[in-house]
Parts: sequence; C-alpha cells; structure tokens
Amino acid sequence: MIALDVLLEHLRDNLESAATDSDAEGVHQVRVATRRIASWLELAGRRSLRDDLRWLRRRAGALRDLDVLLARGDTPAALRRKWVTARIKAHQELSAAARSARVAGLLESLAIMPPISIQEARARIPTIRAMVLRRGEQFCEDAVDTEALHRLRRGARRLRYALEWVGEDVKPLRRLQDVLGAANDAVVALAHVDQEGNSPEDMRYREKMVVRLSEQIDEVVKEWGVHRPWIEKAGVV
Amino acid sequence: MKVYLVRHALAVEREVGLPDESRGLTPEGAKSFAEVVDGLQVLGIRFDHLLHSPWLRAVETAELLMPLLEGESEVTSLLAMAPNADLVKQIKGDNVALVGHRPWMGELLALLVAGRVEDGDRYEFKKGGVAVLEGKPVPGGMRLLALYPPRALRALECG
Repeated sequence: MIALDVLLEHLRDNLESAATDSDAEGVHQVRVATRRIASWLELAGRRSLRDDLRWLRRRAGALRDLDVLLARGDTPAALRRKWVTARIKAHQELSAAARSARVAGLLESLAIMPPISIQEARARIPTIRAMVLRRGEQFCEDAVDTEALHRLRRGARRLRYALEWVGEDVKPLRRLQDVLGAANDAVVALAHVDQEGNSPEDMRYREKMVVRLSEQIDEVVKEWGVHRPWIEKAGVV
Repeated sequence: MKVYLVRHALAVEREVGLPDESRGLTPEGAKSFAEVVDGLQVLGIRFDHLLHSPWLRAVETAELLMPLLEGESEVTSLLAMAPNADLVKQIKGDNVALVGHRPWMGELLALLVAGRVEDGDRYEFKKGGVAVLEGKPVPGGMRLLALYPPRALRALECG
C-alpha cells in the first residue's frame, strides 16, 4: 500500500518554516511536496483536494520563482530591487495561506486519506505516459512554442512522480526534467523582465535570456529524442 | 446567487478505533448519492464553486459532485464546525455548493434564511439531501427554494 503520511509530515514542517522564516529551501520543498501529493491523488483517482494543493502551490511558486531569479548573479540592480520587494509581498501571501482555513482543511483531509494499492496506482500510469508522449510530439512540432514546452515539462514531472510512487527507477527522466526546468527558468525570467523591466540594462538582460532559452530548447529537443524510447516503456510491467 | 447546501451521503457506522472524521461513504451510500448527482444534472444544476468539509465522508461526497463543477473546489475547516461569519464570507460565486455535516448544515441553512443558527433543527436534512437557497449570502439574506430529500433527486434520474 502507498500512504501519504511521510510526505504530509514533510509538507507540514516545510510549510511552517516557509511561512514563519521565509526559508528558501522550505518554500521549494512546499512546492515539491504539493506536486507529489497531487500525483498521489491522481493515482488514487481523486479530483478533490487537487485545486487546494494548486492554490497553495501557486503561492509557494510565486515566492520560489523570485528566489531562483534573485539567486542569479547577473540580474540588473534595478530589477533585483523590484524582485526583493515582490518577494516580501509573496512571502506575506504564502504566510496568510499557511494560516488559512483552506490549508487547515487540506492538511486535516490529507491526514485521513486511506492508502492506495500499488496495483491501483500502476493502472493509471499508462494514461499519464500516453499524455507525456503526446505532449512531446506536440512540442517537437513547434519547439518555439513555450506553452508546449510548459505542458511537456509538467507532463514529464507528473510521470516521474507517478513512477516514483510505485517504486520505479526514474533516473533517465531526471535528466530530461533538468533541461526542461532550465528552459522554464529562462521563460520565467523573460516574463518578469517583460513585466517589470524598462532600462537598457534590463533589455540587455532580456536578450541574454532569449539566447539562453533558445539554447535550452535545443537541449530539450535533443534529450527528448534520447529519452523518448525509455518513456514509451516506463512503468510497463 | 444560488447556494446548494448538501449533507454528506451515507457513511460507515461509528466504531471503536475509527476516528469520526475518517468515516468514509459506504458502497451503497456512494452509489445512491451518484444517483442524486444524476438527478441534479437532470435539473441542469452546475456549480462554479464547491466548498466542502475536510472529513472523509464529505470529501467523498464532494468527489461525486465533481461532474457538476465548472470552477474550483475548496476544502475548508470551517465546514467541520458550527457555522460562523468566516464561513459565510467564503460563499462566493453565482452557484455555490457546500458539503458538510449535521447539525451544522441545518444551522447554516437557518443562519442564511432566518439570520439565527438556533432554528437549524427545524429543517429535516437527510443524508445526501440538498437545500437550494437564493439571495445574498449574509445572515437572513437568502430564501429557501427547495429542500430535496435524496429520494426525490434519485427519482428524477430514473424518470
């Protein structure tokens, strides 16, 4: 049987440190734990609680994106100042969420979810695998479409977490996820610069991000070709 | 605005070692409530917001209502206690469903219709039953349009 208890404890601990101390690793772990739990709910065939996890994850995600941007050494000073201010607001929103009746209900509910059987979980993997393959094809048809890239990234992550829940080795997927994640970092940076940047220095940073995104997309196409055969067999018993 | 108050469907009996909040639906309860959902579908009912209690029988009842949901579902600890002003503030949307427990769903009904929770036990809220309210979601701001026992909604599905 696959139970949620260990991961739920991990979520509780990290949510507390993310909400109280604005701990960057705690924020990251909240985001990861909410995704893994959503994967468990998908394998359990449950639709309920997934909106609540998404709601919490968006708040952690807004903060995490800013942490990733601020961790880079090449950010223009004016943008950095804006992102530091935005981070304070994002942290306040995450703290408020962590203390809300919605999150209290979510944690209470997850704590009483009955465990699922490995067979039940495995039975849902072919659907997830087919979704990733479909999204991979769509991405390859139009590799400059960042929305297709985003869908493939999320799909690959869903497959990875699903396989991890049933005890499969996911090492090959991690490499694909790394390059997808690096491409997404450039997409997020571009979105923030487009929204908040205006100086010539900001525009030079933007150009750098465009070049980085193109390089990362090439990497994703290459890695997709390498890993596709593995994905076609992933989770097959 | 319309508000649909739903009492959870038939759950397993209380037993020693099983916490009350961990009682899920019985197979018959789930099957019977699925027919209630079909009946609501026949009436053309859709929700843009679904609030539910965190307790397992309410989560499983909310799960069965998902085909009627065209917006977001939201779990809230406020539905696992007596209704209060914070819960009433959470009722947002055009067609909102709330899934919870007795006696609190009856009390919430009384609060929204008459402005006082004390009248809650005047309403016969069966398991899997649905109350339909219309108006402004403030104490005393709504009127009761219907209080369907589950049997009535199941009959719609059969008809």
